Parts: sequence; structure tokens; C-alpha cells
Amino acid sequence: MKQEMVALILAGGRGSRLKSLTTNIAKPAVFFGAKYRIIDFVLSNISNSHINKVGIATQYESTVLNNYLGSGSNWGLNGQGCQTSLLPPRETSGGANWYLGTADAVKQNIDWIDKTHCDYLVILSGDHIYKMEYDKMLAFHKKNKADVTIACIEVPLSEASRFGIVVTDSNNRITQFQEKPEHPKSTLASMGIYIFSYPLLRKMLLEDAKKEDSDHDFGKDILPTMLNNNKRLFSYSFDGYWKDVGTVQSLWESNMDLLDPNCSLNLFDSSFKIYSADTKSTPQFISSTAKIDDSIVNQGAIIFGEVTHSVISNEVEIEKGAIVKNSVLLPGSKVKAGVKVEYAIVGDKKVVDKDVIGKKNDIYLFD
Amino acid sequence: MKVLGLVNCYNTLGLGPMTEHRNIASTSFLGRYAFIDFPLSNFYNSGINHIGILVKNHVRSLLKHVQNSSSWSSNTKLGSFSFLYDEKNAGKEGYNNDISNILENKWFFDSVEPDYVVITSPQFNFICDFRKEIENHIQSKAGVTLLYTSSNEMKDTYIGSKKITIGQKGKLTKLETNKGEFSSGDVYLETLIMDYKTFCQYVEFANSTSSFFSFSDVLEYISPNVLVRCKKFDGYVKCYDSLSHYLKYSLEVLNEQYNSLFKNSWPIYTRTYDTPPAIYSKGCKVANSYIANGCHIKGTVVNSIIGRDVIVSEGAVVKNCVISAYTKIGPGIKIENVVADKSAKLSHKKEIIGTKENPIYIKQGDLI
Repeated sequence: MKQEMVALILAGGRGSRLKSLTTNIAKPAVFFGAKYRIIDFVLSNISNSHINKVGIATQYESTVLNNYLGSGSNWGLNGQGCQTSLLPPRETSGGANWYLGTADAVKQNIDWIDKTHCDYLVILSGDHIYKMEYDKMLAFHKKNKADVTIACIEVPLSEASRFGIVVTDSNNRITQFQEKPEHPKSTLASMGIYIFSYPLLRKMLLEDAKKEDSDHDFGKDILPTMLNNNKRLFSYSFDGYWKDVGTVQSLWESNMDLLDPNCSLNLFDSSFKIYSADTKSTPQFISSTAKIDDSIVNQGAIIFGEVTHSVISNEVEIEKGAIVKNSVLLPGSKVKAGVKVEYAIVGDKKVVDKDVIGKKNDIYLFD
Repeated sequence: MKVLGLVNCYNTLGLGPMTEHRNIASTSFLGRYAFIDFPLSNFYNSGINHIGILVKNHVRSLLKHVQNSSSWSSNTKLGSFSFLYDEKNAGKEGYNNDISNILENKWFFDSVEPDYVVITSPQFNFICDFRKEIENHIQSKAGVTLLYTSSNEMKDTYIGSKKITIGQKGKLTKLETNKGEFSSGDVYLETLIMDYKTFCQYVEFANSTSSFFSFSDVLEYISPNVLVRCKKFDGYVKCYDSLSHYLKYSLEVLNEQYNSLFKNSWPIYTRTYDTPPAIYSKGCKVANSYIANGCHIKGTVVNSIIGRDVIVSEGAVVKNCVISAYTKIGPGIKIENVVADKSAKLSHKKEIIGTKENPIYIKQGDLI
């Protein structure tokens, strides 16, 4: 069965502001929300949007990520007609190439995209936490006869300079595009989610590849060129939960958001599940010495101590008398008896044997 | 060495109302598993990748649970995983037995053609390394090895199971149904090891002797003449044979967990439902309990096992209970010694108190 739209995830980034969490693994593979890795969100979105073919461009420390993705079966992307393709940089007859920019990563995989015979390509980032139905965005794209549709979200003016900012007319057509502007002209920010009509994108990518002064980047090169050429760029407004977990602080905040009953990211919606690899864990055990309050806990955790307002991953062990508050404990970590952990992220399989106390605005990364 | 593992879902005693519409094999266990996960994981962890499941009835829920066989097998191209159902004798009590099922599905056994066969039952919950048992069996040169456990509580437990008498050199001399006359004795764990030739001979013998003969009947019938070697299983084992035992033993695991069923070297595999982590709201109280993923705990849970996606509302108190998936305990509802089946809604009756000996059972999907 022909797939109208296929997805390509850019998952090659390092995410160096996550410090030691990304020393050995790519940012999309970083653990999140007690049970998930960051990339589960975009893959589950793809799955829930009825897209069957996905390419994942990996580059930085890709082994863990590649292993994790496998055949795509964890996200239901391995059935008949499905394709989950890992697309690391490759050596070609012309020599070996790294991905030089976001657009270059797509350009180097034109052969893969061509073989899917798709009409539309949705380009996604592998390191954002959100839920979105890309099929609805495609309907919007088609209705507008757009060349490219960019998903956009309102951001505070103070943060607008970190993003690609768009200015639109009353029909959502983009009239200006500013990449990380010093003086933003609006507060509507690009989420780095693009639906392109593929034939035009293909042409643009090949032209861009020839330009020596190009950074081969969507935000800096492809989108401004399209706008200059009077192509039809549209903004698709998104008002749900969306977070780019770029730093230790924002990773912690986003984990804490899950504890907020009013958070619009609903993990409990059974009609739109976030899929993940199933760990071979026992059920979580809360002992009679434990106290647990305002927290989320994944299977396999064993709790004898006190846990308040925290996110506890699988196979975490919290010994008797330990106190964990406002913290995120990654899989397999252990807090020894009597030890206090506050405002911290504890790395996977790390053992905390002395007090670890961070601050709300300065989260301690225990590694 | 090619080994075929058979999960024999015949001759199970059931868990009262809990197994009226399902097999014990697919009945929820510890909120996360089904009973069949243990024999299947025992097989997988023992390197057995040819698996057959002998099913008498209640096919739907078991099929649903094991439909993705890769949860319990490694190389999905090698090995085999087959659901064995006796369609010809379905519904004919007596005629529909494990032997008739094997005969009906003879093609499966012929196509696998194993060197050894291990037969085990989902009713007896234990973990066992069959590699060691098979090796042991081979060295013993016995025709059949039978695993048993010893008990000194046979007046109250293992009722309906088979009591064995062991003669010289561990030979089985007698197999009889335990009716609670003796306080102590040895109990057959419905687990057998034999080579394929012996297996075929047993099946053939049963077939030519009585249409009603099951594997146990054959053992009982021929044990005086053939060397059936009894091998004691020393690990933790429980026979899930009634609703009150289901409650009692399940809760016992809460205290036994470190030395009995769960070992890092022996993972128990199951199918995933992609449920999110459990949420513990402000003000909840939880003690000595297993909580499955997807639960939302706002009230109090003590000494209980809570299945997937269960909601325990504000002010609710759940004590000494086993609650199955998707059940909702409404605000302020107090329950004790209750076994609640799936998707029940406890909203109106404020207090439901059973006893350990006579737990109260709440039907699947019921509104209370």
C-alpha cells in the first residue's frame, strides 16, 4: 500500500548541554519520564499518525540508539508495508561523509526517500517531548496547497531569540522567517517540524547542496530560500505541551511537569499511547517501610524509603530510610539507606551513597 | 539436543469464579503477569525454543496473551511455538484430554521431532532450570522423571492434586488424588521429563487403553511396571487451586519476593500493554504492595496486589486484596480480602469485607 507521507527523524545531535547524560548516548536516547527514552515521543506520534515508514538519521553516539530502535516493533512500525530504517552517515563511491547540517542529512538520504515513492515528507526532531498528530497537519498542508508547513508554537518574547521565528498573515501564510533573531518580530516559534511536498524539497536540497556558502540547514538556508522564491509556506499552530529538553535543568523540569495534574501532556490517554521498549521487570514493589507521595514510578522499582514529588524509573532501588525529593532517578539507580537526594537527576545505574542536594534552579546531576 | 516444552493446560483445578471464563494459564498474576508466563519463561531461560501449549478450553484470552510468541522465544525462525487445541473433542468432557489433544495435533510433534519432552502445568507456580533437570534425567537412565514437592499441609493444600508414593531408588509406586486424608506427603507437580520415544509410547499406550486416559492416568496405571523416577523439586512452589489460595499465595509473594520467584538471572517475560508508569497522588498511602504500571493511586493500599490501569480513588482503602486490571475503586470505598476481576467498578457499596478463608469475589465488569 502506498504511503502518502513518510517521516524522517533527525536524531544525530549530541545535546552537549545535557552534560554526562549524553557522553555515551545520543540525546534522543536519553531516559525520560520513568519509562521512556526521549525519542519514544516522536516515534509514538508517527505511529499514532498512521505513518508506516520512518527513516532515522543518526550520527553522534548512535550505537545505543540504533540498538534501541531495532525493527521498530516497539512502536508498531514493523508490520506489513512498514519500514523503520536507520540512516547513519555512510561511505559512498564518492568518499565518506558526515552529515553537515539538518538539510544535508536529508539530502544524503534522497535515495531512501525516493524509494518510498512518497508525495510528502515530514521532517522531525528526535529530541522533543510532545504529542502531535501529523496526519492532521498533512490535511492542513493539503488544504492550503502549501509547499511547506511548519508547526509553530507561541513562546514568551524573552525566549523567542532561541528559536526560528515566523510572521504570518491572517491565513497562516508565512511572510517572514527569522532564524534565532536578536529582535524577534513575533512570538510564534518554529518547532522544527516540517511537512514538505517532496518533489519541491528534493529540488531545493539538490540546489542547496551545490552552494558553497550554505550551512545546509533548514532554518538558515532552505526555508529562507523558499520564502524568497515566493513558495507557499504555512504555519500550523500547535497549542499543546511541547518541550525541547536541551539542558539538565529543562530535562528535570519536563520530568516534573508529568507530576502536575494540569499538565496537558497526558500519558494516560489510551487512545494515544506513548510506546516504549518493555523492560523485563517485576511489578513495582512498595514496602511497608516506604512512604510515597506525589510521584510517578515505573515497573521494576523497589521502594523501601521515602519518595516525594519525584520520577522513579524501572529497577530503581530506594533503601530504607533514604529520602528522595523533587528528583528524577534514571533506570537501575540506587539510593542507599539513610541517604538524602533532593533536586537532582541520578544517572542510570548510579549508586548514591552520600547526600546529594541540588537547588530548584540549579539541578544536581549525579553521575 | 532438541527439547520440546509443553505447557499442559489440562487437569488444572481452577480458581473458582476467577477461571469460569478463562484458563488459569491466562489468569492475571501479581498484577503484571499471567500464570503461563512462568512455564514459558522457564522454557526460554532453559534454552528450550520448541514450545507447544495444550489447551482444553477458554481459548480466547490465552490466545490474546501469547499471540506475540517472540515475547518468550529468541530466534523466531528457528524453534516453534504452537497453540494446540483439540477441536474434534471440544466440549466433550472426558474425551477432551491431554492425550487426545496430542493425538489430534500429531503433525506438530512429528514436525518438531524432539530428543526430549518436558511437560509442565501453569497451575504450579515455580521457577525451574530444566537444563539441569534434563541432564539429571539423562544420567539417571530412567524412562521418565517426575518432579514433586513435599508438603506437611496436605490436609488444606494440594486438595485434588496427585499425591505420590515413592518406592526404592526414587521409583514411583503409586499416584492418587489427594483428598486431604494425610497431613504430609509428596505431591506431583504435573511436570515430567522423558525422551521422545517414551513420550510417543505413553501416548500410544493411553490411546489403546482408554479414550479417557490423561497423562496422569497413564502414570498411575503403569507406574508399578515402568521406572518413573521421582525427583524432588527443592525450590519455592505453590499450587494455585482455589480462590482463597489465589489470594493467600499472591499476597505471600509480597514477603517472599527476594528468595522465591524473582531472580535477576531468571527474568519472567510477559506481553506488554504499553501502559505508562504508575501515578501516586498527593496524600496517598501505600505499604507492602505490588503496583502495576498505569495505576493511579490516590487512596490507601496496604498489603495488596494492584493490576494494570487500576484507579484507587481518594479516601478508598484497599487491604489484603488482589485487584485486576482496569478496575476502579471509587472514593471512600473500603475493601478487604477482596479479589476483584477486570474492569469492575466499585462505586456504591461503601464497605466490602471478606475473610482470608472466604475472600469476596467481584465479577469482571461488575458494578458494585
